Amino acid sequence: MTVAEYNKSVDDHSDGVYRFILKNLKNEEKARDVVQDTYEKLWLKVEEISAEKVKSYLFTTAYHTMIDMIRKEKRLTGFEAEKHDRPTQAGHYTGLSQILEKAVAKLPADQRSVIMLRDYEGYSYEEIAAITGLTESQVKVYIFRGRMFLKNYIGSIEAVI
Amino acid sequence: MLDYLEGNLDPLLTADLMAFLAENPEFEKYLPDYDSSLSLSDTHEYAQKNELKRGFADLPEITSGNFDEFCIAACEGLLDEKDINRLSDFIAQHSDKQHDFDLYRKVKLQPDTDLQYTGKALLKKNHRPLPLRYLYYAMGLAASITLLLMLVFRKPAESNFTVTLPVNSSQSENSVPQTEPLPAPIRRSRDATPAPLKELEPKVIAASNAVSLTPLQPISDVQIPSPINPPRITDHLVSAARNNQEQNPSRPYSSDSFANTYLGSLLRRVNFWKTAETAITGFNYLTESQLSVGRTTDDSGKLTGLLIEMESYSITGNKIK
Repeated sequence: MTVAEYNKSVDDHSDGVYRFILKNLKNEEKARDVVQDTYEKLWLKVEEISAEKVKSYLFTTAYHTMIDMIRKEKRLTGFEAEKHDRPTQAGHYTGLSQILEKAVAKLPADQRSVIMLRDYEGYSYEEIAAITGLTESQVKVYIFRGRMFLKNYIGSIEAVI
Repeated sequence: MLDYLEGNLDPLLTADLMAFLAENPEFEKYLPDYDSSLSLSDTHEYAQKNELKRGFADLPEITSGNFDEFCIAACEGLLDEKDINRLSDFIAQHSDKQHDFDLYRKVKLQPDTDLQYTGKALLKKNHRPLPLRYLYYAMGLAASITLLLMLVFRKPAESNFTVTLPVNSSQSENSVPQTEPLPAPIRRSRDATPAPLKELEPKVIAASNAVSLTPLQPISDVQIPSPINPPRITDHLVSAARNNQEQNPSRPYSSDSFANTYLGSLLRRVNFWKTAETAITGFNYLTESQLSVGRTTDDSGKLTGLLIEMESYSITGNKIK
């Protein structure tokens, strides 16, 4: 990969990586750290990675960095990653989007990650499996379970309203 | 394990050992009857795995139990046209399921495009700099080649004397004084050998002219042509070698071969003592100390003594004669 292709990957994928990590971690500062670490790792291997595979490399690296960060926090605090940190750009959400955000935040980390990769980035089951280290069957199962939970959550909200 | 291999292990312990090996197959290789082909590792897979799998088409009908799965598969794009039609027919037959199907269509997340990473400029790279070590390699290689060339190639031969002719009155004031090349330099080496002597042939006088000939004067001196013509000594005659010796009295004259190289001529121009004094000045400035170095030389300029002084002590050394 050339320097120009590297810089192009910054323009093309940094938003998606940042969005994905931010939705999972719910912390802007940590999401920025993950994005910077990810691109630094990419730069160190810039000659080994081709431009066609840079997106999957970025998301794979970012995902594993995020998981490491979550596990480290669990060891230090004994809790899951703080979920009360909200993104600062919350004013543009619609009603359904806000409900979905809350519902997604309640999903287990694995299900949340695979659903985000599927919906935000349009990855196939095989690609999601490569990024997360899961099998393709596991990815399908997580997506099915996640969709069902979200549907029931929305249904319950509508029932209350 | 040793007891088992020697046949001394209790049957109950043998059973425990076998159970342990069943759970930890990596230790089976230590058994004498170990057969690697029978060992199951993580790389062993069931080859006909895909034949066991089933799809939505294998489900004979859509029921309340698998309706959610069909809806999710439809939203994921996993159903073929036939199964989509079956689902549509089921929903048509069960109108209360339409709401559930609509909810499944809503739970697809949409990317928040307003959420952008603002530090892109810091991530970008302008260029990929070469590793610094390559620069050191290149500099070292260039310096080595330069020093080698300066050591190998010799400066053109210089004449030992430079002669400037006095300017004539008829010449203009701005004219450059003409210098004429010396016929042959005075060789200071010991290798100069004089040219062989020429002997004069006796003159043959014809007998008819014998009366008019005057008696020959005896040849008292043999004329020996000298191959060396001493240069004209003028007021402008300068000895280049003498000047060099006066300018650098403390420097021992190096051998001819090294001095004639570019590197040797470069080193001749360097005044190492002044360089050392400058370095000591810089050292005193940086460390706020008062180090000084002095020397004593004899009439010929050779170093005879050295003095190093600091704030609290001084060191003197004289050359051992």
